[in-house]
Amino acid sequence: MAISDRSEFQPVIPVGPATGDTTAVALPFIEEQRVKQSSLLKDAIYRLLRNKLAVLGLAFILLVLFCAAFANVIAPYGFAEKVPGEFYRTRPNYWFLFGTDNVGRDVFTRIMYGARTSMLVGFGSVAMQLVIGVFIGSVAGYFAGNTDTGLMRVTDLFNTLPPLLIAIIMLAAFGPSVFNIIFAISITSWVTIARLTRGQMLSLRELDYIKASRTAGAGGTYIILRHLLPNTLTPLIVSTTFAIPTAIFSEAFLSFIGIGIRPPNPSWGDMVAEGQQFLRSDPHLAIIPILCVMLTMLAFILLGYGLRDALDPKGNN
Amino acid sequence: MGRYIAGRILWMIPTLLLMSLAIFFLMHATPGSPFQAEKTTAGYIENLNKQYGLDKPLPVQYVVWIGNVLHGEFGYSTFFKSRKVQEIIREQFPVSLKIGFIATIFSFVGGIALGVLAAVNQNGPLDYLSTLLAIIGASLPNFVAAFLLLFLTVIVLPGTFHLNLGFKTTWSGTPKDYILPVLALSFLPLATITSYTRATMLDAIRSDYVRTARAKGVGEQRVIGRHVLKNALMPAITLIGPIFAGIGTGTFVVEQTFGIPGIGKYFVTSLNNRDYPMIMAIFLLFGAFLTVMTLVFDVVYGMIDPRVRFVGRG
Repeated sequence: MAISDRSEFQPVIPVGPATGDTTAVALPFIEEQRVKQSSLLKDAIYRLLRNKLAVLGLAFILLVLFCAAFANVIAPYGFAEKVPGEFYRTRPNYWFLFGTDNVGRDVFTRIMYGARTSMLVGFGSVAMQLVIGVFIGSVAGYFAGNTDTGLMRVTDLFNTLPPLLIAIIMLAAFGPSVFNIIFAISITSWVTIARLTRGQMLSLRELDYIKASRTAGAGGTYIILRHLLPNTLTPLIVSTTFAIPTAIFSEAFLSFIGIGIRPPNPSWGDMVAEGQQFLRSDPHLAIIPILCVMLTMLAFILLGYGLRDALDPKGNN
Repeated sequence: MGRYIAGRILWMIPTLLLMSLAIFFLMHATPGSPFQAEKTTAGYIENLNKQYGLDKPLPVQYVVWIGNVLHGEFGYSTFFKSRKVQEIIREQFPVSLKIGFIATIFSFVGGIALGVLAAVNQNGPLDYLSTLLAIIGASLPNFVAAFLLLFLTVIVLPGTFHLNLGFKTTWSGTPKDYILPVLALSFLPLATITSYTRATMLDAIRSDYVRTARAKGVGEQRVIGRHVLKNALMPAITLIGPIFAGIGTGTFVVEQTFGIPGIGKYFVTSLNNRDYPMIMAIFLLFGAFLTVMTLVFDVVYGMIDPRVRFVGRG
């Protein structure tokens, strides 16, 4: 148990039996292993699809991703475009599905483009966290000893930093842009993934098949990439699924306080901030983007729980 | 043990120094100046810069600033010009701190209770209920929860909380006023702690020593109370630091939503007005507070759980 772990959801996943193939074993055995692996995956998918809530979450995520990808096709207007005519803060109706805002922009359009921002930040920051976290975690876990101690000291240092505050200063300094937001969120959040990877590697590296591989002359990079990482994949997938909603929320939070995405660029958080002044007369302006943030986070969390149960080889359902 | 604590305290010095350096230089790298809104002649701005010491080279400014900070002197706010930063903080911070503190305690007590209930009734209705709560809570972070709560209470229970949708809230500081902000801040941490506690409880329930205890004929209540709870609840202590960090940052926005006169109002205003002394003070205090909290709880955890090795962590 790592001390003061930042991980919010703590997916506690037992490491399954090592299933990596070995170079030093006879051929039939390898084939047998491959067959077993694919059926394991099939089982996992089957278990996931049986979990109705997880499927619901997945469906919603796919919907949001679809809206994000084709925002420019679906949306009837531009995200900064005033709709023709005098439509200011109109209620949702047939022509404007989610109404219009105080400067006469179509809210539906802005929600679609906001989804694009959210998804970019969500997936982008998780990708960056994975790159940093897996790299540092693998190096620390595989080489152990002093390398491990040093890298973990650095990780501890980052762990004490309050993530959102750091993101705020970084954005204040480097200016608001989607890439800067991704960077500002990832700079503190990779710690969880690094610790997870390191923990898995430390327990795996002493196993016989790794020793065999080393004896056969394999180098560190090869062993990490070929043997160790594939066996760390399961907890990483789950942890990543839970990291996405956190990143989505962080972007919304940063944009809400006015330091993230700046208007007229579309962001759900900024829409909430703009809508809050009309909460009394036109609550839909704030409530719709808030529900978007909430439901998207909920969808990822449901999928995350589903994945955790489905990928757990000891799963009993 | 003594060496470990001394080592950790020494290790805090570079952490805090690094934090202050990062805050200082990032803040000064920010485009825009604290006086950008002043519509006056160039000479006036130069004088202002001189008065606040902003004309000196950055490293000199840093040394002066950190020296003052060590003496508890944070300088004058560049936005609220006649006020000293420490005055504003001393006035406003206690309210934020109180809300954050109540929310932290509430989420720990509530989260642990729900997690324990869920684990003891595994796969029963109570388990599903608290898992459901944990899932919903996890998708209700601070400002999202704050708005939904505000909206629901105004619609469903109008007039109950002195609130209205126009943000003409009158904060009177009565216990009732604390309910909504504390709830808004607690949902997500409560969910986190619930699922964490449930997982550690289930781990403990399935462990060998519990099986041994049961085999010896120890009663169910005693097994849970004496053997499971003790071991399962300890790891939650390590969550206090990060959770307090989350709640602390949350108070900055939740205060805005509920019209609470805490540091949150100043935080956003200062950020938008490049009020360097103010922002640096808030960040530094908050960061230092967290670092100390993390240290304290790590040490406490180590004292309670003898399995934690003190030398060469990890």
